[in-house]
Amino acid sequence: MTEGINKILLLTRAKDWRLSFVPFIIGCVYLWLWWFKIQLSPASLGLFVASFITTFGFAALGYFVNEFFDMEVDTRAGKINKLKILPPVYRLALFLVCAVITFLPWVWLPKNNITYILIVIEVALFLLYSLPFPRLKNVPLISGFIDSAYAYVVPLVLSFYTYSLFAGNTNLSLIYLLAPALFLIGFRNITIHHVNDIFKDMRSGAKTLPQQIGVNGTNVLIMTLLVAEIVLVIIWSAVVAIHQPVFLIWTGIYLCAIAYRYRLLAPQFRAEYLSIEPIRHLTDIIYQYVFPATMLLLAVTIDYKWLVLVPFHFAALLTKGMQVVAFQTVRSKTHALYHSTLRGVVDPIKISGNYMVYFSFRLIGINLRKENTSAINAIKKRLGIK
Amino acid sequence: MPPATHTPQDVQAFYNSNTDKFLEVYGEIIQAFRTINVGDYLDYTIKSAELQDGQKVLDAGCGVGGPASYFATKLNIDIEGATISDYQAQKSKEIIAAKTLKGTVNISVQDYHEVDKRFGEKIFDRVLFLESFGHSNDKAKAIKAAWNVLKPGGKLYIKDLFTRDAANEWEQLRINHICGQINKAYEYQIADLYEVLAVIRKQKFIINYMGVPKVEHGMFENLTISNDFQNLFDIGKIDSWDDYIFPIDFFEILVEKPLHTTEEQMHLYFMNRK
Repeated sequence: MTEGINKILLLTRAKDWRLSFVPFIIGCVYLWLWWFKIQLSPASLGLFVASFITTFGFAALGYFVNEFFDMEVDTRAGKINKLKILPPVYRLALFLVCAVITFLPWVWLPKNNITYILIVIEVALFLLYSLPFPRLKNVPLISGFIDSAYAYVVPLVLSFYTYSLFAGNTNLSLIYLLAPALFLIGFRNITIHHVNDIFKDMRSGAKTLPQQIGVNGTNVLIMTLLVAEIVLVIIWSAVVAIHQPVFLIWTGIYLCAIAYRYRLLAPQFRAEYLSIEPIRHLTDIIYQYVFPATMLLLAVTIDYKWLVLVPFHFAALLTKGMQVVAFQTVRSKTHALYHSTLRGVVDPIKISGNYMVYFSFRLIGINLRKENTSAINAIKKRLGIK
Repeated sequence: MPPATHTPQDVQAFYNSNTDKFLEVYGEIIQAFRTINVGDYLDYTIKSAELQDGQKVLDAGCGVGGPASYFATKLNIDIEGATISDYQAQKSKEIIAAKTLKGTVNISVQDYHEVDKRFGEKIFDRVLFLESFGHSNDKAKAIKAAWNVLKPGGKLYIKDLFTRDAANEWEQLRINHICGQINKAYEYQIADLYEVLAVIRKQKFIINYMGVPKVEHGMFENLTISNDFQNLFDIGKIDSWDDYIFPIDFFEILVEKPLHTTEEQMHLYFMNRK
């Protein structure tokens, strides 16, 4: 079973999405739990599980479609295409698995016509992007728009809408600013992806935006997207905080995290290398780890039982490295807490015991401090025992 | 090429703390571009730098004196080695003492940008920079110092790595980025060939030749040692070979200090111009 899941994850290039935009979308789901004040119940847990499965499904299906129609191009570019090495019958099986985990949860998930329209848009975007015709992934600017839309914006809207149906409140105001912010994040990430793949794309003849606008243009684009995205997320956070002041926690954490990351990355940063330097991902780790953690914390303020999601999130959406770091941090903090608690209890007892002995000896005319000796040695001395 | 951010003191500190690591992997010849049998490459250097019996030679950035002592075992030459690292100078004593020399080798702690102050003018027949020139944070000053210490008719030989040129700006971006990482890891500033040639020409050196060292196919060591060094000690380690772009070219340059001054050669058409 585990081997099968691992194989599906490998073939659908899960490392490209499981730990990047999926944690962010799941973080948004935690936000919906808080925003709609959803308590943990069998129905809400079912909603969460089903929405999680379909989120994975959409991501896997998107990558499957993309890889499937890239097989020839990848061969030309000398790029490894994992689907190409699979026999056709296995490809079909993989497609069916992806389709099932994408669409089956919708049997249980709340839906209406708008839901269907959003699902159709998502699938249509996959196809427009990848199909030999119109293959919009080869049209530089449009490919960025489409990629960003199907990886970030449509899943966000679909997920929010589903939870709003569950909560019986279809007011979309929460995502008016969040959706454009996610669009900018998505556009920046696809631009970075194109920069990473630039030599492979050149070999295969694929035209991408970075090739078209050059190094300087790409640096300016990434910087602009980064700044615009940060500004938009801050404005969005402030607007949400007007309705729910507790959300200022997120605004504060976000600003601190950006300042921390900037301090960490800025010393090695040179503007002309922006498009290939780690600073291009300034905010991504925040969205992948800090945002879901904070949103889960907010959800827990609605119902502490949502803590049940912590181990699940830890296992499914953290890299191995992050799991180790998180585990070690929790262990060392627990250790420190245990010892400081122990000290807090034992030390006062020790001190009061010592004082009791000291004053008892003072009562019989012996000053242990002045003699600079222990109680036992003082008794031995008085009794003449060596 | 951005200005160097390191100083000779940084280079000194780097070699004082890392020389043992270099010795462990490279041996006493601390050069990346080499032959499988490093002696073959040093024999080649003797020819390409036109070293001959009776010459007085300055090895600028001589390391632990491996090449200098090798040359002195083959030729009756008088070599002064300049290293910025006192640790290397100390190590060189053992290395030189272990060899039977035809000539002499004397290694001292020197900043090669200022060898003219130490040795005075018109002293040497050859000045060699054997993969040491890139440590210079002021290449014009290093070349000027070499000019000053060379006798008229003397020659400057540089063998080093130079930033590779790419036709595509994305490739050039990666190349410059990787060179920046190498520079940072090794207290280096990989030279730009055109800038170095411009400085050489402005100094009025005559270029004898410039090209890739001519090593026969099959004899070349393939930079395995420098990769091993990077991996073993995590200095300038390459994190991923996926789409890695080789960022440098190795060149050797031999230039000559003219026998006569410009004023003495005013009768020649190419000198008689303002």
